[in-house]
Amino acid sequence: VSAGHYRFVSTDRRVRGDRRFVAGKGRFVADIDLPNTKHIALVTCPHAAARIISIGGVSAPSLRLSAIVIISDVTIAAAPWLGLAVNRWPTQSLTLR
Amino acid sequence: MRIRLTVNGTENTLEVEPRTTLLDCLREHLGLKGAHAGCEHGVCGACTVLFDGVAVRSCLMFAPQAEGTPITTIEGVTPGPGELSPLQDAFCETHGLQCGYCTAAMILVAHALLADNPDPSRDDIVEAISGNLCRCTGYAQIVEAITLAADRIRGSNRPSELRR
Repeated sequence: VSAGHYRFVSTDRRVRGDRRFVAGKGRFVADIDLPNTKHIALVTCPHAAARIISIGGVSAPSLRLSAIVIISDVTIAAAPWLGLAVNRWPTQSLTLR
Repeated sequence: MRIRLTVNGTENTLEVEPRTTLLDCLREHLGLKGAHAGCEHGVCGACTVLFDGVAVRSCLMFAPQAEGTPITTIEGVTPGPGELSPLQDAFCETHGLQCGYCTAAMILVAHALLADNPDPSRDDIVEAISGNLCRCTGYAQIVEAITLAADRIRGSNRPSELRR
């Protein structure tokens, strides 16, 4: 076996993908612009245990709010994929205004 | 509101919400995705840009605040199409990155450091990158990359027989 077979052994190799990352051309998930992409903001409850009576006061026009989603919406929407969605908050009842 | 931002030598007139962060403005309005949103509260340093040559976190300032001050992002560091600056090249050579998320910011911080101090000690380098988190490389190769680039930049005007 000639030395030519070992030309990569113990030599300094560059990673091919590095060039785009050092040039700021890496493509991460947040860099992808899909049409009509919406952003989501999770709002946590400031109370340890409470019953939601209503949701309101979030109609700032600059927010261009497209929807308010609560957990029951998610369990209903996700049911076809989950098969059996487990509602961990079975007692909640909420009408969106 | 209407603002004028000078980014990488180009002046842009933009219509933004006053509360838009410089980071969101660069990414969403100007399409410069090289500045990354990491923690979005000034801890990770992934959003670093050069604000008149000084490394700042673009998630901690509003776009209107940057009006009238030259901004440099990682896209403005590359000398030409297909070319790399000595720092960018050194990061490749010393394997100063893995996932690449912190890399753009690390390079900008290093640019600011070397513009200020062409012959930084290891402590100077560690101090300069102390505000930037990297969760994969482990910093050793990043320090090595900056040391190598500093060495090369200092040596670039020396006669070849005197270069190391």
